[in-house]
This record gives sequence, C-alpha cells and structure tokens, in this order.
Amino acid sequence: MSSKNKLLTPLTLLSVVILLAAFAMVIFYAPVELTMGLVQKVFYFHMSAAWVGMLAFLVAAVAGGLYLGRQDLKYDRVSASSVEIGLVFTAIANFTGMIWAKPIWNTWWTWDPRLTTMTIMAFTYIAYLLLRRGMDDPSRRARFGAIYALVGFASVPLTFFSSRLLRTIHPTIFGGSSADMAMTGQMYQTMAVSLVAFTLLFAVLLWHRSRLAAGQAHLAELQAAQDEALFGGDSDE
Amino acid sequence: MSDTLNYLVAGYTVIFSLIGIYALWLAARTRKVRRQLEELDPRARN
Repeated sequence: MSSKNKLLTPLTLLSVVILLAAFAMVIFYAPVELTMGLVQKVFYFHMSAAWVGMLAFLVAAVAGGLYLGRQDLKYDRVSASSVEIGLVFTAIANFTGMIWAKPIWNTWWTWDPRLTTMTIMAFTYIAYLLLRRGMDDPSRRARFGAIYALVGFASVPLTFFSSRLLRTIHPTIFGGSSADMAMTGQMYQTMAVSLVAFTLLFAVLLWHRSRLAAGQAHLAELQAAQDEALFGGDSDE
Repeated sequence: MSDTLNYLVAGYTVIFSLIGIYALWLAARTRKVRRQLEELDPRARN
C-alpha cells in the first residue's frame, strides 16, 4: 500500500472528535421530547445514519458512472467501498429505528412503506456485494458493479420519498407536517452537528476502505506474478 | 413522559458497537494486507 496521506490521520481524529461532540450534544444539550421521552434522542444518530447510507449509495452510483466512462478500476474500488459502508450505516438506521419504534409504536417492526422500502434498499445492496464476490475477472466485476450501482440507486429515492408520498406512520422531518415531531432550535442544532459528524465519518471511512481495496488489488497482482514465476503459467494444476 | 432510558442506552450501544466493529475490522484488514505486501514487495514498506 502506498504511504499514508498526511491529511487522512488528522481527518480521522477530527471525525472522532466531532462524533463525540455530537453525542455530547445529544445527551447534554438537546432537550428531552415531552411525549416520547429519552428514546427520542436516538433520532439524531438514526437520521444521520440513514442520510449517510443514502449518500453512500449515491457516491457508489456516481463512481460506477465514472468507471463506465473512464474504465479506471479506482472508481470501481470507490464504488464497492461506498456500498459496503452504506450498508453498515443502513443497518445502524434500521436497528436504531426498531429500538425507537418499540416504546413509541409498541412493536419492533411493522411493514410501513418507509421501513419496507429501506429493507428493499438494503437487500438490493447486499445482493450487489454477494454477486461481486462470484466474479474473478476485475474488469467484468467492475462493469457489472457499475451498472448495478446505477440501476440499484433507484431504490434510494424510493426510500426517501416513501414517507412523503405514501401513507406512513414514520415521521417526516423535512417537508412533513409539524405534527410529526415538533423540534426546537436546540434540536435542529444537534441534528445539524450529528449530520456533519456522520458525513465526515463516512468520508474518512471511504478513504480508508478505498486504500485497503487498492492494497488488496496490488496484492492480488503481486501474488499472480509470483505464481507465474514459480509455476510458469500452470498455476491451475 | 414515559421512561425510555433503556431504549436510549440500547440505541447508542448499537450505534457505537457497529461503527466500532467496522472500524476495527478495517484496521485489522489494512494491517494484514500491508504485512502481506511487505513480504512480497519490500518496496511497499512505508
């Protein structure tokens, strides 16, 4: 792997500091919501995780498009890395949503349009990673990944607009009615810091994961060259 | 106001656990790949 970029380490530390600052704001600064109580404070990181999940799938689609245009495998590595990170944050959004739902909706899960489309989106990208694993040829895998990332992105606006266009019990903060969840100025400030913290964390993780993917690709090349030298191209036997 | 402290604790435990597990996995994989690269190609050091 190439030497570490000088910006990556301070950026990583900064992302941790801002994440902890956002958590401190959630606990000590944001007021307790009167109806839901303390569990409402899960909302700040729940929504930030959902936002990063969707942003990651957008980045994957854009990188996929760039790969198709330029045929450079670095874009494929960014696309696949972004999908993987997007799934981690989508899982966080789903699990925290379930924990929030239990005391408020009196159930861990319901087939509400938002929850259903979120699940479809997650399975779409789980399939992306599984299908990629079955392909050995890097160019074929990258072409497939790029097209899949572009087509699969259709599940993201479907998820985003599901709670705005369909009948749902899921609250809508932006563009919804104020009856969904009334928020004070301190709540909006905490939400803004949480969104910044998660976005920065995503950028840092994507950078680290893409570097790892580049290292893995380089390692595979070296191992193939070593096999070639040792077995003279008969490495299959 | 309902007492939902347990759910708050559970929520943030899940969040920090998943982020932590992924970050640790990423660090471990990076270290392993770097070591393998150094074994195969000494120029990859640093």
